[in-house]
Amino acid sequence: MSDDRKDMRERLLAHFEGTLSEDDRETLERSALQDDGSFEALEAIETELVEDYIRGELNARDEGIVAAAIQRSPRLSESAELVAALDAREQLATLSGRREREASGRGSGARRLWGLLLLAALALLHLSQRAELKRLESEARELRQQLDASQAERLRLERELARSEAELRTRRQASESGRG
Amino acid sequence: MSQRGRRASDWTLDPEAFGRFLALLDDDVVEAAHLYERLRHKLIRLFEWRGCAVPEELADETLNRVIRKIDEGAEVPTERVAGYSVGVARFVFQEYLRQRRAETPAAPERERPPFVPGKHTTTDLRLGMLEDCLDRLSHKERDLIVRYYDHAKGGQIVQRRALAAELGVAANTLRIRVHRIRAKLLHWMIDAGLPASEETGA
Repeated sequence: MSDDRKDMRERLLAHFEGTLSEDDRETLERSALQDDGSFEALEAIETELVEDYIRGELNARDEGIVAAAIQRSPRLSESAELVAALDAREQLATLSGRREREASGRGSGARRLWGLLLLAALALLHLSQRAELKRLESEARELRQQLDASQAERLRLERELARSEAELRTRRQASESGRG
Repeated sequence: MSQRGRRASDWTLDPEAFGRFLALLDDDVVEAAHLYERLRHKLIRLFEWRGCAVPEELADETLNRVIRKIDEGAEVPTERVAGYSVGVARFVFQEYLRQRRAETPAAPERERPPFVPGKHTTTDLRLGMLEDCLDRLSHKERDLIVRYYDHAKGGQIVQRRALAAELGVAANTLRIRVHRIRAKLLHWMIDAGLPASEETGA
């Protein structure tokens, strides 16, 4: 806090308390009445004192002075109520913000879990599909080998058949020419 | 009609004298009325700070006397009207103290009990009213006052300094800006009939 403001705060407290000398009081009041900036600065300090009072941040002496001033002045009491309402609103907002963040945290945790489960399922599906594919490929390969082997056997048997038939024809012709 | 030359006790405020006083404050009637209201408001606050129970009455009495003095010929330049009023206010206050000592009147009845933290709580009704009033502010004003009271991100002092730095203004300028917004909120809330605090029962 700057020295000027600290000094102004002390003078305002003394003014509230009635311990400010008449000369100092007149200087303070003249400055406030003639200069809008000084007046607003004093009112801002007054609100600051009320804020500190509401939050229990004043020492015992200053707390007594401000409490008495609020007791006397309906305007200051209304100002205190506004500050208390702004504080209460902020506390509610903080609490609900925290709850939202917690809820949001819980929500994102659940979403993460579901995501992981989905990924795992997809991975399993993928793995089982790959295994199945491999099994089918292997089976197809075996069947092709069996088919190739069957085709080779059929070819061999056809050749054997053709040779046997040729031999049979030759023997028949020889037999017929022997009888003739 | 000028009332110069009459005794103070005979003098009463009339529209002409009031008009002449406004003309002394400013040539523009609207601006003069604004300056008059401002001066009255400051006098009320001055009497409040002095612990007076009837600040409005004393502020009006002070202004009446200032207008009368000027109407009776006191030479008060425009720029000295405020300073002149302080001197008159001092006499008015001393008279008030003398009168109070003589009469020892009962404390004036208040429409509502003074707010005591810990004893009173902020009701939902008041919070709802505050939200309504916050909605009447411009987006910029609302954002400023909400952030000024937002201490969730750190301590109050640190947060407010950070806010001032972000806005590129001195801490004192920030305080004055917030003070103006708060004054507006308070004015609206009182106009809307600020609901009384509830005792916690503690």
